[in-house]
Amino acid sequence: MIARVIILTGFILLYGFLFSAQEQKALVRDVTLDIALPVNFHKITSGYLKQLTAEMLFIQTSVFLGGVRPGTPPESYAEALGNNFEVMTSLYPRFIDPYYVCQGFLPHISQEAAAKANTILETGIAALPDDLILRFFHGSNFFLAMNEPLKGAKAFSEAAKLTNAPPLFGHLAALLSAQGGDIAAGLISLKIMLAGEKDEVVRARYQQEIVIFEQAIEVSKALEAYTNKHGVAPESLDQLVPAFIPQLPEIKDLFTLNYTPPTLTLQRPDKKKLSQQH
Amino acid sequence: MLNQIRRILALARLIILDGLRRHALIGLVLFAFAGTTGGLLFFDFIPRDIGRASNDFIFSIIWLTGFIFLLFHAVQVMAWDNDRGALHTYLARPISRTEYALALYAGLAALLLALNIILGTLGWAVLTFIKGSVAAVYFQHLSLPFFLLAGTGLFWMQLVILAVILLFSSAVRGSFPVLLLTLCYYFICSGLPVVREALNKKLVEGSKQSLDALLKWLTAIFPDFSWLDFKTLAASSDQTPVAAQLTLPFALSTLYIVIVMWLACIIYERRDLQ
Repeated sequence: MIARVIILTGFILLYGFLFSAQEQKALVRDVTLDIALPVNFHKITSGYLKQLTAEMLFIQTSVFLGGVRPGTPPESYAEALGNNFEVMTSLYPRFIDPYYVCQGFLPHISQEAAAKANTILETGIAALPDDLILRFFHGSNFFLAMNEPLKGAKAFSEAAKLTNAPPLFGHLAALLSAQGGDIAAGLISLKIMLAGEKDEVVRARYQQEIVIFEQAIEVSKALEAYTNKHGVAPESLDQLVPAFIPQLPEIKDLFTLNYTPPTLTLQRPDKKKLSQQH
Repeated sequence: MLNQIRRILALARLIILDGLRRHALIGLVLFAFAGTTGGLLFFDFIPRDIGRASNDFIFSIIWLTGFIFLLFHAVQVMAWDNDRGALHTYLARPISRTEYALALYAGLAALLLALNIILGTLGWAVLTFIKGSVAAVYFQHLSLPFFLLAGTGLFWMQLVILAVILLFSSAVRGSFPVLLLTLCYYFICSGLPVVREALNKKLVEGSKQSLDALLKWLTAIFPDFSWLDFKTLAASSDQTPVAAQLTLPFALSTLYIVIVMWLACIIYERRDLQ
């Protein structure tokens, strides 16, 4: 009897020792995010619980993001993160939380991750077309994370057509068009914005920008004439003076005129660089 | 006719009492109580869409409880369990096999309804509590009529599955095969719409029609339960369905239940009990 008790106690102590070792291992192990199974699998197996499955996946992903060890390269979990957000939003497109968390973590990792984030946001926009925040995330990712200002301009231009859209969307569409090289489209957007604006201060700003856009379009026309005559775009804008344009406009403060043959763009000056220069 | 109804109701009452006496059922109710109140913890993990997520959680728990009831209680009660000899005992009384089948269905449906009412009431209380404890922006809508509609839709789905369990029980001996068949039936029902959606995206026009027609008529046999899923309406501003969108699924599934029950009764009448 005593021998049995001793053996049992030994087993319990051994179990406790192994358990502590296992726990210690679990503590030092990096938290990982498992790639969720395809959305169709979840749809078939969860049935009525489809929405809850999406929400549980969201919680699992959020908990992972909250527990990532400092210093972990985001590229190591970007693929799983993108996949899981895609699965949960496809399962339940009207559930809003995944879009916010996705926007907070995914686009900043890489251009590919930003493109994935925008695919996910497009699911949200299709389900909730009047949601202005999703539109803003979608449009801003194009120019902030993907270097695709023209796509951003298109996204903001679509969003600006919504009844409750703020003037910011139309303005961003104009600025991004110019930044992407489509200055004429930007000018049209600005003129539409001016026609609909009542605030005198904002109107004055639009007018100031329209003048700059018109000056840039003159340069663009001169570039076109040069290219037609010589069969090739000039290496610098100075080559346009005086045969194609009397003088180059002085564009500064609000915008800078950038020329990378053969594309002419208008860009907002980088405020960080300016403050460093000062 | 009146006598037949009396006999059906009397047996249904026995089924209800038998169900209420079972400790497993009480355990199921307690499990569901714990699950539903778990909604109070669940919403803590959701930063924004709290109303929607809490509502989904409550309905999912009610659905899960009903599913456990159907698979582990209803299947056992309905299955032709030779050891229990319950069917033989009942049929020794002046009751026909059709009356037996209808009574069985009515009794279990009544138990299921009671379960849903208890859990629905608790779920509503939990949702109201959550709504009161978070800022309005995170829980904007909570509609009692749509909550009741979602509950009714859920109950109707359970009635369809109950009818199918009765059909399988009429044709197959033993509770375990019936349970497996019911699970297969449920997965086909939830898988078929996904297959149709996937094929619609991939197939070329020429080969589309015949396969589409086949899948469409398979959906008539294995219905798409999402037609009766109205839970997202209870706590969100999702587009309200029109009257036809509401009545058609209920009419369709009621007819489905009637047809399945009819078939089950025919099999019960002809089945050799030995």
